[in-house]
Amino acid sequence: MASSPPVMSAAMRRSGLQLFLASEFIHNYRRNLSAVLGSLIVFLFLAMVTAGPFIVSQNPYDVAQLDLMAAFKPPVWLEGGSSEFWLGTDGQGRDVLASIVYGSRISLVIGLVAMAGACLLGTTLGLIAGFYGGRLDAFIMRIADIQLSFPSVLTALFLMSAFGTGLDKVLIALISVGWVVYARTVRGSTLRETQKEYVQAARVSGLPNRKIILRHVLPNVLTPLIVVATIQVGTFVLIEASLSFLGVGVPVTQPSLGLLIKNGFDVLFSGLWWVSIFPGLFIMLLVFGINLLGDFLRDELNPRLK
Amino acid sequence: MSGTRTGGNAPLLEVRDLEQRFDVSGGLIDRLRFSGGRISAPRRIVHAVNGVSLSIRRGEVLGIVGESGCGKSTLAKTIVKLNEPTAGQILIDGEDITHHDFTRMRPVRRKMQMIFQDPYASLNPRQKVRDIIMEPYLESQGGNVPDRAERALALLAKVGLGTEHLDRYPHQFSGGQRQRIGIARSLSVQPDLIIADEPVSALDVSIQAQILNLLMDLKDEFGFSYLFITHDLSVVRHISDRIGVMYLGFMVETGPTRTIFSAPRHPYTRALLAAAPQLGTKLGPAAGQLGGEVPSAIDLPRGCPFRQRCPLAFARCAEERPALLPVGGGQSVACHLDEPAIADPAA
Amino acid sequence: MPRPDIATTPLLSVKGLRTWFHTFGGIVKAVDGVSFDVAPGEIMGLVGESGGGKSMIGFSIMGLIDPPGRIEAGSIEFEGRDLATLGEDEMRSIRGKEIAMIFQDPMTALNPLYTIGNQIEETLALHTMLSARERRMKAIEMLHKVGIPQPEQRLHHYPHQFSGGMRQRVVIAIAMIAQPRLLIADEPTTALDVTIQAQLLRLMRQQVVESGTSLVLITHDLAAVSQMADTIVVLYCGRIVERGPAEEIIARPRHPYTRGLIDSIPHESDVDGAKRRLSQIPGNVPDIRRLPPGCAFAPRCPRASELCRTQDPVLSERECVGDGSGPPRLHAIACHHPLTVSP
Repeated sequence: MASSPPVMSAAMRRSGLQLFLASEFIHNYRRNLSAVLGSLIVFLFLAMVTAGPFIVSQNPYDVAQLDLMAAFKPPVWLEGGSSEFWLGTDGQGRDVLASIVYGSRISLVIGLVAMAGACLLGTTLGLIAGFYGGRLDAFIMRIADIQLSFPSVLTALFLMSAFGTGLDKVLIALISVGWVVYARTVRGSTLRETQKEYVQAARVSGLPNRKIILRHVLPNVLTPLIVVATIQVGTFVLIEASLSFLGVGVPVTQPSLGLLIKNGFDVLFSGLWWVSIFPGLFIMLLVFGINLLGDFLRDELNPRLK
Repeated sequence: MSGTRTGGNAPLLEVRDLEQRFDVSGGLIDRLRFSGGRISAPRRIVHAVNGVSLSIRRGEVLGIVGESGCGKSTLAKTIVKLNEPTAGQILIDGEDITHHDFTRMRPVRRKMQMIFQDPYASLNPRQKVRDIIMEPYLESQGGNVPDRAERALALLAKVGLGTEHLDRYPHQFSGGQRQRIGIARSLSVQPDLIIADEPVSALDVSIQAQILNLLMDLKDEFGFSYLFITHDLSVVRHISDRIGVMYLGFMVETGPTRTIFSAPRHPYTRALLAAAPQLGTKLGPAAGQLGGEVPSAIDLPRGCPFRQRCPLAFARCAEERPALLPVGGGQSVACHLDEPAIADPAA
Repeated sequence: MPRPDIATTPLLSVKGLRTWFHTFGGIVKAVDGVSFDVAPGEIMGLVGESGGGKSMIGFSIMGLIDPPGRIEAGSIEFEGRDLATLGEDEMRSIRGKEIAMIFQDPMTALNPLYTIGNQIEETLALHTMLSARERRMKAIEMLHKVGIPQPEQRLHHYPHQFSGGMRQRVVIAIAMIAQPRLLIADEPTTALDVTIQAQLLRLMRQQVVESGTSLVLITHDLAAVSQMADTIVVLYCGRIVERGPAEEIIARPRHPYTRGLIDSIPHESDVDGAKRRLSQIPGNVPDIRRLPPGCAFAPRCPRASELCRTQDPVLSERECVGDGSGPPRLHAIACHHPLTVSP
């Protein structure tokens, strides 16, 4: 449309936050039901994992607090349920809801930390590949291609079986399957940005490559990553759940949502469905919320769809 | 350029027989061709600039004019060392910078700045105006500048912008204002030479006049030289002291602006002048209209680069490439028809 | 010279056209009350700078305004029908057959996946009853007419196998093949070099004159338009500021904006240091969402008075100073203080 106006002086006096709240982004967000729903789900999860441990009555990993007599209690609305354990208990008398609160925390932290690590690694490699080109580019991108030709769960499974299990190993496995998407996105944007005249202007100004990359290229390739990163948290939660379900994920002392499903899986067909199903529903809800948010961000931040 | 007077001080910029080729063949696998039962991997080389020589004195404006693909932009970018020259020499103030590396280029960058074509792509959208315009200067000073704000303001004032613009981002400006910001950036190191690559072609006519006036005022104030690249004949006529006409990477004619417009010698220059739309003159019959299109810079034609479109081409044009030779009055032409009798082709 | 072959009943009559875009940042009045007539066989130039609304007039005529844009008011009468009220189906039967359009970038107008032969024949198949063989013959004939060498072979080539100038020739061939009554060309030569530009302008003029088609040439290039057009319409911020016969507008512009545009172009007389400064229009084109009250050009106008800053000037017609031969021709100006001209 018409080129951007010289900004009105009144607009200049408003603070950054006010401008943001009055922006088209927020305007569209408010009108987008799924975006509001998605961010609400994500927000509730974050609230739950931060405040949850102070609210739920039981720390499910403090053996002293467990009562074997209360094992396999059904949810509160079923016969035999207890108002103490809303979603029932497992075989050791752990409150399923409390397990979910603690498990969500582990799942989310793994997802976020792995995403941050993958983003850092992938962005760095993508910038290097796109900016310098040549053999370095070919080398990095061929590794990425090889990485992509394996299903990510399979790759993670290989790595876990090689390095052993543990929280740190899960993170390493997730980062090594997750960096590729950043590297490819960033490399593409970098190729596009370095063609632009402002990068040439920086060269003519005598800026060293390191400064050109950090000051000029990096800030201009980040926007599409927001979408990738958001959706990846969801993907990582799922991959981690699969790994834990397969028994090569987090240790039993730090059970994530995936491990909770596995723990309940043995008794799933004995009618004790709540031990597995509730953690499963929570994973689904979390990933659903993240994806709704991601889809909204994709629509908003992708200028081609506008 | 042979037409340049050599008396007095050395030229600010001198370019000798500059060649710029690009290998666009890609990797080995992309290059593989199967023909006649044989596998070959031919290279594809773009001959963007072919043996161009020119010189600019202090305070002089040299306009380079030509159509798209004539190598004029590549020439500009090679001179500021955005490309590594394939052959030839580039001298600034007598210093040969052709093979200068990054460190040795740093002091040279203070003498030579560039203004770009696209007012939208030439400013980093994530930088504030104060950072954009001060970047070349800060870089040349190692970042240690106590009076940053005053300097930035002084620069903006030079290009007709003010304090209120310092902390804005590029998207808050119109095309003409952005071009002013780009000009302020190039001024920050007080260069001797500004290479302007189509600085007004993306602007509306009324804004174009503002920017041309600004460029001329700044030149009068600071006394620097311009290498002014454009496809627009009316602009190049207005701003240049001398003009070079390029075709397919070759310099086909050079001379004082007035001579080029009043007495063009090269058939291509003549066709270019004839094709330029004139305000208020109805489109005449196609007489003198140039047929055909610019050939590919990958497979340069033998002989004269212009011969396939030249209405006056004769046998020799296909055999031998004409050299740029002086014809008097500071004018030089690369055309067999204009070669002085003394230049014996057999020699 | 007025062309004697131009009839007086207009082919296209645009009256009070308003095309607005309802964006988050406010209403963009891209076209705001524009009226003009195009006679059969006439070449009209729509001139203005970016943001002037000239392209949106073309899109409005073609019925190609998408949300958030909308034709708010006005009529576009074409051969007795109001295009502004027609549905998409009816417009589709008019587009390409009766009104054709040429865009700046020939690559977007051509589908890269089909040969140009396919694309020319498709237009014929849509709008005529010709057999496949006849369509092919006609396509070859048309390509030949627009100056494409070896049309029989070129028919089987894909768009990327043509140069920019050749592609635009193909686009002209597609536009002209159904013999439309009106051709709208939006910056058809802006992306091309001067030598190619001259070739194409000649080709377009020859095509429309031969077939009696009317041409609306939308461009920012006053010089190019002055070479082609019978009538020139000058736009500023979505409104017509001046409209009249081409020679009249160029030789005796009466609106300060038109005058400024013409003076901004570097002239021959400026060379040799005698007059190194161009006369320029100060300031920038205003943000079309926040137009000043009164005349939109007032903030940049050397002749602006208090009246201009408060009251919209109305486009009013007066007779050209003209040479007296032929029917009187009208020159319309929207200005409180038009420039006076000596006859």
